[in-house]
Amino acid sequence: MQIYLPIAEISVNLFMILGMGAAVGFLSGMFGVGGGFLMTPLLIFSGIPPAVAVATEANQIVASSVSGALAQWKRGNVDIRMGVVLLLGGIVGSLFGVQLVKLLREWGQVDLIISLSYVTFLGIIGFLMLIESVNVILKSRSKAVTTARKSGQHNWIHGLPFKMRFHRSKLYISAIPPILIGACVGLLAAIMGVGGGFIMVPAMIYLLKVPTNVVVGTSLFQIVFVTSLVTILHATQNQTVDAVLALMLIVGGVIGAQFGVRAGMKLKGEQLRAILALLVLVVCFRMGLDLITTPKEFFSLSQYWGGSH
Amino acid sequence: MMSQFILKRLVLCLVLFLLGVSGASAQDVITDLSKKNIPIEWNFTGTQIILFGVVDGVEAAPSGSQAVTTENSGQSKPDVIIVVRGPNKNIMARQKKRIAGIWINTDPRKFNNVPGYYSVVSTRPIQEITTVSELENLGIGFDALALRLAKVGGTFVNNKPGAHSQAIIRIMKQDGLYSEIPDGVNLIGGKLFRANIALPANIPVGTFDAIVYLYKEGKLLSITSQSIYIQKQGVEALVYSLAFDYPFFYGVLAVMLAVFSGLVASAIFKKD
Repeated sequence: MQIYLPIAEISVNLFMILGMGAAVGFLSGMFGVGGGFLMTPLLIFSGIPPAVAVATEANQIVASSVSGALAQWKRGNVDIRMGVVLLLGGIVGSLFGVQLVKLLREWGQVDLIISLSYVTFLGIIGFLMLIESVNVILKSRSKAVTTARKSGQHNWIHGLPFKMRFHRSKLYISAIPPILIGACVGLLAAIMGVGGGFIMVPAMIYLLKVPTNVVVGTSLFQIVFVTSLVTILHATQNQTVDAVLALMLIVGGVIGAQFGVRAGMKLKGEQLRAILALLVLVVCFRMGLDLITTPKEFFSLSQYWGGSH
Repeated sequence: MMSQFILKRLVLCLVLFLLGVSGASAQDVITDLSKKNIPIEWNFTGTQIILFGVVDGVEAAPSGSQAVTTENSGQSKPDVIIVVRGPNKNIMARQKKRIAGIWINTDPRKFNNVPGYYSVVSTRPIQEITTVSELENLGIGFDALALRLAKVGGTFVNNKPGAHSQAIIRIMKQDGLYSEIPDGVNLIGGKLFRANIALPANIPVGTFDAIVYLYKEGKLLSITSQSIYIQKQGVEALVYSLAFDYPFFYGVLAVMLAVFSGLVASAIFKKD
């Protein structure tokens, strides 16, 4: 059944979109990731204009992370102070990012920058995850004893000013690194339509040394607010949020995630990460291929507003 | 641009009127459309409309001052050209070039007033019906359109429309928004005619003009015009107007919808 998308202005198959939502929902439930970095490329591959794909996916992530954030909140796994500091950075990053998208649209380069961002980030992350998970799998086979992580070690972050006390995380660190991390995540949310958990979670664990039990809750807290802001900003600045498409993705995603969580319980963490890494690299490869293969049509058209400039 | 077009048509109408007065029996065309208002709703996948008409007084045509010397003078049929054009858009065309291994949009050119839809349907190839210069003057066909686009965009290469204006027509044809059907008008008994006009799913909204040009032996006998209105309706219209007229409110609504459905979904699945 075909459905006409009012903002993307194309007709899509309802079951294809629901299926895509369910498939990505399944994977995100299985791997415990947001899924934006898979969904946005899939939408682009299926013909949705990249700027619409990004803004609409930000809208979907609000739905897919809000219940998780609320559950973590109830369990007391959110460091609110840390979350607010991350969010402050996120607001700055997303304001900047949405404005950048607006400019890139005027310059006709938004598709290129979205693709390049994806190729870069998916390439790096997929590669790192693959190495890490393969190492773990190999080590567990050779039964080598993994060295315990050196905790409490001082690093350069402790030399920075504007120190704040984060009670829930039992940290006394400068506010600058979390603000910067939050800003990066906000920027990525605006340009790539991702929650940014894949950057924020490792950064919080390895750079800020936030205890693992509050990392997920705190990052979800930030993601809900930042993706909400990104949705509203894209809607006002670029008119690229397709609510009809978002609703279809949300429905598909919610159903898929339920099955994904169950499937994920049957696999080991490192196996999951290896599969996810391969998936990420496949999407990265496909996006990269589109950038370098000689196009069939050497011209592209876009509409512009205001006749006289 | 538009006023010039209207002026041309006025002059033509005047000429036709004078022709009519000067003794030759006037050629009247009565046309109608199967549908004038086309709603775009959530399940819109494109549609077809039928333009049909009657040519009046064809039998009495070869009269008046002009001597009939053509070979097929005995049973010469009229020719019909139908041009359907959609609302104008401002289009930016860019050329992809390989820079550092990556294909990048370069060389942007602006084109004002590019028809968002353009379809030429005729009884036979339009170049056989009338002269190239007349097609250019009336703005009928893709050669004429390319010329006009090149004038607007300032992309002439050796007095011919440049690659950008050609690309607009090529891409719009690929998208199904521009089309040319040289045998799309069915002439029945030399008097009745009908043509299918295809409106694809990606059609722009707004007012369309369906212009019927009636020819006989290379002579333009009449021009009639009708309007088609294409509008989003129902949910489509609501979402679209919210998104563009109240963007902030729309954004907030989209977020609220997402929060609500996220919470409802988790509540449903918690039970099992």
